[in-house]
Amino acid sequence: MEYFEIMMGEALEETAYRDILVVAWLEKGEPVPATLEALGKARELADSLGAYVKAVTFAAGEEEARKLTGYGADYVYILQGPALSQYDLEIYAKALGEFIQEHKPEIVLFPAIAPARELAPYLAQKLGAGLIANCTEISLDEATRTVIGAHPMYGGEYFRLLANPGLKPQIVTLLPGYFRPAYYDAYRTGEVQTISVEPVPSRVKTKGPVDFTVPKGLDKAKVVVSVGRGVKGQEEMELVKKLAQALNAELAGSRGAVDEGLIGPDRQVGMSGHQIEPKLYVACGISGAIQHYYGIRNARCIVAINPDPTAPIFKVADLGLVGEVKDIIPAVLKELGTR
Amino acid sequence: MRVIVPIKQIRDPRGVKADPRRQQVTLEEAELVINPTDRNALEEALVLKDKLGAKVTVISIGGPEVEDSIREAWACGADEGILLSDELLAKADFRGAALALAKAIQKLGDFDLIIAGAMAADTCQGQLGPRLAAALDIPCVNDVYRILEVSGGKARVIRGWDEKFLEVEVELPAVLCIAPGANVPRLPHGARIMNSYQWEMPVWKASDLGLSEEDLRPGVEERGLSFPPERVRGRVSRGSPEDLARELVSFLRERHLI
Repeated sequence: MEYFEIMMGEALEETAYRDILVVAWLEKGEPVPATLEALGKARELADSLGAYVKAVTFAAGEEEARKLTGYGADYVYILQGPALSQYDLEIYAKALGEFIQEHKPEIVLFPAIAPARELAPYLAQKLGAGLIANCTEISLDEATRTVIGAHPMYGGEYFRLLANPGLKPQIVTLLPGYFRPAYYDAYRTGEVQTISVEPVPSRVKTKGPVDFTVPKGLDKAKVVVSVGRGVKGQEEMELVKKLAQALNAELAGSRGAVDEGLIGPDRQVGMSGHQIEPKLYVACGISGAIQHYYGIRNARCIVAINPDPTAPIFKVADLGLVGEVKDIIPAVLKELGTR
Repeated sequence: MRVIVPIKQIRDPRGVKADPRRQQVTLEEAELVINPTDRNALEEALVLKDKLGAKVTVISIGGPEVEDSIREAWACGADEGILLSDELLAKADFRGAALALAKAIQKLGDFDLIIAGAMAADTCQGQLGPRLAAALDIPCVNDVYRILEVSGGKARVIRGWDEKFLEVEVELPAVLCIAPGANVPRLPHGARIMNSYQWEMPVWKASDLGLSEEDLRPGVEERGLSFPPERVRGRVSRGSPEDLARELVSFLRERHLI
């Protein structure tokens, strides 16, 4: 192989970039779920390309970083130094940039979690590289060893496929929740190496948590979970609230729910209340009279849960589930929790 | 004090509708607007103008149609606007766009803050702010919900990460990327809308920024589009709660709703 590359002359430079690098985040001694998704994808890409999976992490203990080998990394590198114990964009980017320049990975995968959403584009610019951010799907053009990433356009109205064939490394961030996580195999082994990083001054200081909430309105909510007369009592209302929390949704209700005292009049959806256009509207125990439908006619997707199969809401729902709120919601919460 | 706000003109997200059956999307029917989060960024800059007398400069890249968005930002209260426009800039990718904006900002001279929107509603990439910071070698704080104070060469802000809010202090000059919905942007003043067409907008080309075709050569290639499943109404399912729950969760996942 090496001899062949030398024969190829110019190709040598090109193929000097190899292996798949995952920038891994650990929390409380365990890789965060989004990291496992990146490792799962990395393993798949590496097997198709005949490459190794390398994982790099910041300021982790050797034993906890070793777990990454069980999740499929052939090599694990711990960037270690006093300046790395807390996330700092410029310091992390410098350490990671130097690592990448030395190791020359062909593909770099980041989980698209909070620090990486800033770190990945910053680093890409420093390296003069391309970046496909927030991918929901990744495929490979094996012939040209090019990664093709699909990312949402206009909040997921459709998806665009992008590739960065010319610039190395090919950097991609993976939206959490879209990829199969790597599984743990205690028998899998790999090398773990610690690399010490020289301290550099920080220009950003995180001073600590503050008490702050974002005023979120019903009108701008992306996901709304809504209740109607079919929700019986506070106990069932608590279930709906849990569902709203699990879906990161705002709560709303029909006129009936307001009359029953399940929800305040400021949260009423319908002709005499708010007219909303969320991406997802989950109607729990709402029959769906035309006055109510008027308020949600621009919702991109409507899901209805109702025991009465003849309820009008089922005619407009993209998915209707026939059943009692008290039976279905706990099962949904369980299903959402077990991914 | 000088604050620079890079803005992007996009198709109004509310008007963009994909047609999964025909596997196509028509963008031309949607109105051209300032990216909503860039309006949040402009609002933060205008608050600094109101409080501290900051001079607010708006910059954008694009064709002549983008002039309208810059004039709209001026009508909202910005002090000046610059359009970066030519064939080379039109083809630039994320890297090239950040490089061009960085060169233009350097050409303007000293500045204290760059306030950008954290994400464009069209591409949902969130690359520009951090890339701009890297190109200018200045610090960056993204997902900013509130600017608490700007003084003594520093800014104190609130950053929100995964529903957790942190107070962060950053040395200036710096890039702040404002989170979507962080504030309620003001509307243009009626009188200023009329007057906004009276001033001449500087238009800079790649060559004015010292950038060559090589500098701006795009690395990113588009390889097509894909579409979520078509909307079918009135699908009703019965079964055990467990089966229904499973069906619901996979339905939501398929449509990227969770």
